[in-house]
Formats: sequence, C-alpha cells, structure tokens
Amino acid sequence: MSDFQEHAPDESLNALTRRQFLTYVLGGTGGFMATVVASPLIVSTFDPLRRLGANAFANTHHKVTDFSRQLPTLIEYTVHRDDGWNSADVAARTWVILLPDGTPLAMSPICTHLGCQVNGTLGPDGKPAPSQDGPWWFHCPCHGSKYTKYGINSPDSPAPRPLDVHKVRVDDAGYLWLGPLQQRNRSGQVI
Amino acid sequence: MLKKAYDWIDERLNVTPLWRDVADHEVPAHVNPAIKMSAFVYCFGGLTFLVITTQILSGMFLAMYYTPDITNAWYSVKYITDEVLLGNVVRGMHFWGASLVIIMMFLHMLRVFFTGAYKAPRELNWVVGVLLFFVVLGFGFTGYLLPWDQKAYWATAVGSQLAGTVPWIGPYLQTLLLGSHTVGALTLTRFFAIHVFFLPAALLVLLALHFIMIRAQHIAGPL
Amino acid sequence: MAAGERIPGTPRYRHHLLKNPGTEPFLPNFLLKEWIAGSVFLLGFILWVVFNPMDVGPKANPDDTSFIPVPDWYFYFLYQILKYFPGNYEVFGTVVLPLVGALLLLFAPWLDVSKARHPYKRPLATASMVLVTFLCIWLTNEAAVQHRAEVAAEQGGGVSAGLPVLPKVPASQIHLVDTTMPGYEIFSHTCAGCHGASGEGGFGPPVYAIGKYWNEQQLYDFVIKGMGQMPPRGGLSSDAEVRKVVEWLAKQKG
Repeated sequence: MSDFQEHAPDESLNALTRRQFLTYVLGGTGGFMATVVASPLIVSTFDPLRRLGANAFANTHHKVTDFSRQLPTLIEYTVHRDDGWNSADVAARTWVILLPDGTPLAMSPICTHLGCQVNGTLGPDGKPAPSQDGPWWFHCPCHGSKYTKYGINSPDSPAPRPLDVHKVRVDDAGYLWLGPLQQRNRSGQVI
Repeated sequence: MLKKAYDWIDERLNVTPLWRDVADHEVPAHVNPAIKMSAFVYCFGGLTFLVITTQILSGMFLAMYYTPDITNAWYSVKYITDEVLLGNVVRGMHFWGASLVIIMMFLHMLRVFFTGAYKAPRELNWVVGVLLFFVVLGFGFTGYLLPWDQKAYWATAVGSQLAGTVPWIGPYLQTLLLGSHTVGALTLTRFFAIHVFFLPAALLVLLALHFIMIRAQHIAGPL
Repeated sequence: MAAGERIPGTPRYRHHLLKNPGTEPFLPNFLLKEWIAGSVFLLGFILWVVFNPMDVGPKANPDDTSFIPVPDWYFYFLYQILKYFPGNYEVFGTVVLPLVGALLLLFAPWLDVSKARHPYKRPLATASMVLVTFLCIWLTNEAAVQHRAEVAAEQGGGVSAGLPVLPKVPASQIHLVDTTMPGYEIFSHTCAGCHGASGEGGFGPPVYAIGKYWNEQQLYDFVIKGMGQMPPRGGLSSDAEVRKVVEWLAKQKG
C-alpha cells in the first residue's frame, strides 16, 4: 500500500482504496453468481420439509362404538404411505380402548424401552381377557416391561414412559381415524 | 478475525505465493474485451468452465433424488420434474447446461484453432483440451440414458450398435459398454457409474492440467 | 481480503504509464470483468431454464419398436454420417471416419506446424476447419430436418387419422413393378379381389402407390391389424404371407 499512500495519503486513510473497492465489487459479483446457481439447488433439498405425510390421518374402518371401556382391542388397518415416487398401503396395528369418558385411546404396540412388540393379555379364545398380573395388562416379551391397559408403564420395569398414543379423530359416520404418534409422560398426559 | 486465521495458516503453510501467482499475473490487453470488444472470444473458455461448474453442482443435487434402476429411474426423474420444489429448474439447469457446455466448448475450440494458439509450445494443452471435449461427449452419451424414457432407451439402443460395428472386437465392445447383451438394468447402472464417478474424475484431472498449463505457458500472444 | 496492503501502487489501468501497456492484474481488475460477463451469462441461462420447463417423456418401453430413435442434438452430425454409409460400408461411418476425425483433431498441432498463427497465413488449416465446422452444422441441421419428417410421417401414418389416400386412376395407367416377386403372386389372387388386380381400387381403396407413403413395417403393422371391412392379415393365412405381400407393396411408389 506504500506507493499509493505516498501519493494520496488522505484518501487511503478515510476511504476505500480503488483496489479494495474492486475487490468488494468482485465479491459481490461472485456472490451474485453463486446465488443464481445455488439458490434453486439448495431450495430443492428443502423439499421434504413441505411434505407432511407423517401428519396424515388413516381411516381404521372401525367404529368407535365397536371398542370397549373394559379392555383394549388390537386392530389392524392400513396407512397410505408416500415414499418419494413410491406409494404403498402399509399394514399397521394398534391397541384401542375407550377412556371412561368414551374418547378412544389408540396405543402403539411398540414398547418404549427398546422397540419390541408388547403383548396384551389374551384369553384361550384369543380375545382380550382381564389381567392375571394386577394392574399390568401389557407385557413386553423382551425385557419384561409392563403397562396398564391404558398403556401406563410400571415404575419398576425398564420402560421409560407409557406406550405412545395416536392422535385420534372421529368422523361424522363414527369411524376412528388415527394420526401421528405422540409421547406421554408418567401420568399419561400427552407431552 | 478472518485475517488472523489466514495469517495463522499462512505462517505454517506459506499459502500466499500459491494464489498470489494466479492473482497478480498481468492479463495482456489483447484478451481484454474492456479494451477491445472483439476480445470477447477469449471469454469462451472461462464461460465453458462456468457452465461445467453449474453442471457439477446441479448434478450433485439431482443425485439426491435420482435412482439408477430401471423400475425406479423414470419415476424418480418424474418426481424431480413434477414434485420436488424447484426440481424442474434443477433438472432444467442440468439438461440445458449439457447443450451449453458443448456449444461453449466448440466455440472455445474454434477460437483456439483460428488464433493458432495450439502451436508450439502449447501443443500439449491442445491435446488435453481435445481429450476434455471427448470426455464431455461421453458425459452427454451416458447422461442421456439416465432418465430412462423412450428417447433415452432408443438412442442408447442405437448408439451402442455403433460399438458393435467395430471390426473383430465389436460385439465384445458392445457387451462391455452395455454390461449386457441388450440395453437393460446393467446398462443403466453402468452408465450411471461412468457419468457420475469415472468421467468426473477424468474431467477434473484434465481440467487441472489444462489450467496449470495455461499458467505455466501463459496465454498466447496477440496475432 | 487484505489484498490492498500487499501490492504496491494502484492497479488502475493507465495505458501510458505502464511498462506493458494494456495489461492489468488478474485479481481483482480482470476477474471482475470476467465475472460481470459471467453474471450476465448465468442470468440469461437461468431465465432460459425457468421459461423452458422440462417435461418427462414416456417411460422406456423395449417392446415399442415404433419409436424412432434419435440421439441428443450434439450427436446428430455423427448420426447423420451413418446414413451415407449403408450396408457393408457401415464401418466407415461408425468407426473409420469418427476415428480419423478424432485423431486429426487431437494431433492438429503436429499437422499444422508452420510458425504462422494468423488464420489468413495458414489457409489450408483455416479452410479445413471452416469446412468441418460448416459440415457439422449442415449435418446437424440435415439430421434434424429428416428426423422431423420421419416423426411427421409416423404420425401421418397413424392407423386412425391420416391414412394415405391415393387418387383413383384407371388400371391401364398403373405400372406395377417387381411383378416377379412372390408377394405379387399372392396379391393378385387374394388382395386383388378388393383392391383391384393393378391395385386401382374397387371395394377397397386404391393401393397402387402405397409404397410412396408407407414403408414395409408400417404396411405390415396395418395389414396385420386390419381395418373396417378388411379382416386382420387381410384374410391371408399367415404372417409370412403378409410379409411377402407388403415387401412387394412397399416397392410400388407410383
């Protein structure tokens, strides 16, 4: 910078040198080119964020009135899943019981400990039967986690939290629709 | 802060001379369109590089959604084109860019030829340039198949027949090119691998040689 | 960038003060100009892309042999060359010529060894390159034109809409060719019942110059399916017979 300062010391102290100015403009031009090219590319990678497939509800084709307040029932239904350009109807299972006020509670059969499928208590006829184990109605075959019929975990079993529950919706015809899973705390409140 | 970080690195690795050589070399007047408008023909090489850069970038992003498999390829391309946010633009950049690379490269080659810039001592750089041209044509040939549409399939079915006409080794060559006896699943995976791994590697090496030689030999003087 | 501190003097372009008049530093002066040109170029490119949205053609179908294959436009010149080397000379178009062209291009520096660089001072090299360039452009254009014509013919020959309609002329003015072919033999005692002994038409439409409009394959596809009053295979007993008849019919170009 020495030569330039000798000739025009004032300018260099207060203002940009010509070289600095050119460099900034160069940076701006480069930034412009990068933006023109990169913006559509980067926007395209954010496409998955606008796909809310996980929030969709699936019709179980079971009426709410089919379920009991006494014991959970295992139902099978299909979830339509769009996976990129593949779309498929995937079989899913869930346990449904009516709460005392009559609203359905749909519990995922996935143990919150390590992801095994929990078993409900079934009678010899394969239908849900009252528990032989005090309040514990669901038992996990893997590590012995225990849950009540409302899916609340036993504090002395490995499961860290109650069974996850689906968001539920009941349509005008009385059919039960299941939405995304939600976690609950120890007292059964959805977190 | 940035300057401190730079100085810290520079003290240890002495990187300044590396970019100083590029940054400070004097660009002669006869290639500067700002001095003589007709010198714009000297921009073709740089613009080719610019389009190649956008091709590499758009290709990288397309690969996030594309799948090289005969049952899925077409659907994934359709998904990119019709469903993905701005996917149409990303694919369009790669599609039109491919033609643009060829055009700019051809213009660049004509400039070099007609200004006699390939003459001693720059013969080697011309050879590297011609090899780059072949590599780019290879990109075009392999890339055309990837959408797995009718155009792609039949162009490749016919194009690969050409390899089959080579005397003696033709049929073997054709089978090697296609990875099979007809255009099919193995052809698609093969062309995909060539398009996104083999050719880019060759392209980058040749481009590096091209640029290093320009720096070492400087641009050819005025006519 | 702390570049300003490292280079003494202003990089301003002062023609008369410089040792080498007209030169300017690559960074930032020259690169800035290049990048401004690059920005305009890229902007134009992106606008082109945005206003020419892509679509997806039908999925590849190896069974659909009616599709007319064509490479991407920058291979048209090679593709067109092939058409000029039929049959046994094919290898000239597919291998020899492209190989020779590639080698000539690759070794151009050793073919044009004069010291002269100005294009006017090496007329042979310049003329060859100009010629090759125009040849490539012409071949590309020719291939495009011919492909368009083929596609149009294909669509025109679609079985439903554009059936070729031949004008009715008296049988005496029709000159059939290649009447020694087995196809004519079959034609004359089967198809001729409706289309006339000379293909002048009767119950069925005239066919005497059908080869001008349809090639063998198109004729074959049509006859196999049949249409209206014409039964599939035109009432012939086998596909092989149909093949023989259309082979002869395709040669009748009026």
